[in-house]
Amino acid sequence: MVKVTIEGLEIDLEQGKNLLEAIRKSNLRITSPCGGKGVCGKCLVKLGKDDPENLPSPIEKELLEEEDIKEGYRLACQVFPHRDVSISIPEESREATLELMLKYATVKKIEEPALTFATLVLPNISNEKDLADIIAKQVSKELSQKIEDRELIDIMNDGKVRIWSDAGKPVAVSSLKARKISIALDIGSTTMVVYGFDIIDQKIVSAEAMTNPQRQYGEDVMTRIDFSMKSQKQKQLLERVVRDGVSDLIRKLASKMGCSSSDVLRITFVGNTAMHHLFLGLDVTRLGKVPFSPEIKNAIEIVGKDIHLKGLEYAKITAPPLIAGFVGADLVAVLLATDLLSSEIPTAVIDIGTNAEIALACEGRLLCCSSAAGPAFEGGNISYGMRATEGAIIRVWSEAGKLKFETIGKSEPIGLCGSGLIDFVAESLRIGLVDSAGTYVQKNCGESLVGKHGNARYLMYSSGRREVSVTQGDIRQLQLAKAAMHAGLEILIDKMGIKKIDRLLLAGAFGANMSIRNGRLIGMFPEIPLNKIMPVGNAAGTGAIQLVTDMNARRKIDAIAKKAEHVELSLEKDFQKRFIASLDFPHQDSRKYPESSRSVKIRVTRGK
Amino acid sequence: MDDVIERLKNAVINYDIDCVKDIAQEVLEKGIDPIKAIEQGLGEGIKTVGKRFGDGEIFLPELIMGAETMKTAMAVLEPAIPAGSPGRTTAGKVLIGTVLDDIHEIGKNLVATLLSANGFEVVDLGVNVPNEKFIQSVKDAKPNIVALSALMTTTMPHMAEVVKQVSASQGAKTMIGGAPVTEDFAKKIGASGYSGDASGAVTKAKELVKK
Repeated sequence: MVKVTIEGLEIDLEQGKNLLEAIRKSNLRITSPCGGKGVCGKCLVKLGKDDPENLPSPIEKELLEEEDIKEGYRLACQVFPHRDVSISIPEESREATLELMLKYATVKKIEEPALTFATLVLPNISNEKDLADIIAKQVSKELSQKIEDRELIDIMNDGKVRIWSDAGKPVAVSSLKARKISIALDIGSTTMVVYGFDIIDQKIVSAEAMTNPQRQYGEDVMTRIDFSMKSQKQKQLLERVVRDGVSDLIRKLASKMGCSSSDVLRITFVGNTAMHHLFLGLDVTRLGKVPFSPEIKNAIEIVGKDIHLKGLEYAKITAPPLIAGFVGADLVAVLLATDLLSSEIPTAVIDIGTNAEIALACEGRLLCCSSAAGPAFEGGNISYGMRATEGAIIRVWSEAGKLKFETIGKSEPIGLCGSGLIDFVAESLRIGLVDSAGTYVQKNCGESLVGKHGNARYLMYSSGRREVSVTQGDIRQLQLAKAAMHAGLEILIDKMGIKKIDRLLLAGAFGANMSIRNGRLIGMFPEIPLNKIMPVGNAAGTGAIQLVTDMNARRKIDAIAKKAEHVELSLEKDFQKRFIASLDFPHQDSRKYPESSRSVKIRVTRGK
Repeated sequence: MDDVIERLKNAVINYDIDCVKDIAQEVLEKGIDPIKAIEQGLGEGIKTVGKRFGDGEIFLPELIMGAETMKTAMAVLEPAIPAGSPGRTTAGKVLIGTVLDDIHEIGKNLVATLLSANGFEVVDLGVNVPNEKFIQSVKDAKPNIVALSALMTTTMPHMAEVVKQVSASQGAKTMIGGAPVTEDFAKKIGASGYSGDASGAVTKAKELVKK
């Protein structure tokens, strides 16, 4: 073991592992588009002290400027420390997710403020006992004992105190100088985001994000459930890392807002059911097996010390109710933010992800399900798949029958992100490189297609030792993902007893960044007018913020969760049939996609 | 007469579900042995489809349509097999199911389809199958192979339990598969075989029967 100190944080690293591994362990974020393959040259770190044993690798010499190497800049994936080192992560290699998170969570108008404050003018008082007596008499006995000593001088000098209330009930007393805040917390399996609400300004003023530290114990939810089931110790470990991560994240956010964790009055969190349960310390065993029942469905209201949040012992922690094992409080927040139940026309919302959560509302009835789409939309299980960071092909189109593409940051391509893959397939369908069955059409691909059948891959870019291609298997992965999502929505439409939906909302950053036209062409969405398919951004985050700030939202939330009828897709007899029929581009039944089907150049018909 | 069998084979290869019934009727009208028609016509046809699927030339919808075309013809031919005839020669008998607490069936169905296509007799126990049911069915059906599927990490321990008991009783060979299952896991729990995909499962099953 060697000790790697990253910006003050000490990480134990096994010999033979690289710095990228250490950074991942530390929960700090670094951009690493190629995933540590030594191709992209993006995971730049600065070594604190010169380590002569650790000379730059040939890859570093090629990708980095000599000057930079001299100054101690190295690639995290190329440095395998032999002894203790200390490093820092320069600004340019920090992953820029925060802007993205903030950009897509919208802050709605507060209809009825839930967090309020008032100023109380004190009569002449001479000591703290007088103060406590007045607070006890005019506000509450409980709060009269909670005035912090450090506040006393300011209060005495001003002759005024500030009374902070949540839902009309006084919850804190402070000097006029203090700023109290509240937090909306979105615990995703991949990323955790906190939004800071300033009560005086009545608005979200700041946000912070970090990788969910549980990721080191399992990338997907099932693996973490399994990890937690193995022993009490492992369960506690998962709980501890996420709680410590959240405490840390809030400490940073509070300090950015000019106060401290002890000024947090309320934290409302949302997340999928597994993240929700693990954060609260609930048993997740039953989430790992049929029929995936949650331990608790009701709304949660506890205080920070109940779950050992550091510095947040007295903050009130709340979570909205949830619906099912794979339809969590995050979807409930999405339903709130989109006000789906009030839709006058049949409207569906899809939160696109590894588990696509789908809800459909029609005339006051609300159905929802979760569909295991797999990680293809996020670039997972795709040969050159990657997240939407620099070097990812994000747009593909064609000019004169030739595919053209654009990368994030306009740099040399390293791989494709989900929206790039969708564009690639859609455009290939238009110009006949891929047929409606999802198979490459050799005669139209020319020399760009290498290999045959299952081994075929289309070269999008190749230069020297770098290549970006899409394999036949990658297209199959996309077919499986979009078919699972489409079949899920179809089952809901069918259960609702309607023929089609009139409007589709796409929640999550992915929906905001993809080409909706191309998504519809490949059959991810039903064929409804393009202007009826609308991205709504990070609606789960938006809903969590509403629950912090608005009484009106808080009153609605229980009713929303109670209204929701959950459909377990794997128990639906029709699911397999619909899934198989949804594999084609756009669909086996072209009557469902008259317009898109016409855009697919080579249509395969079977059985004739 | 071989022309009819050839047409039967081609109907499966071309997923011609509309015509295959008529061709099967023709087989019976011409007095051709239904077992021969099944083995040399339908069997060969579905083998071609299975191979194309394994090679990645075609995808799931084609495979399923090929299998359904075959089933349609089987519904005509099978009842015509004379009672007491020696029956079809099979590649072996496979008991298949998704383990307890797990209800995912598409992958399991796919393997079952491909195994049937390759001449295996398949007994499908369905999904969410209790460990004891596997054990009891091994005793009752006496298969060559028990094939277990799991789609969730959390249900994989049931595989270990069934494999352990089946191996102890030496009742049958065992093979496992499913998205979270790895070759390492298969080795660790002592399963006789593993495959990462459906067509690989057929190859593995053939291997295990020979052993």
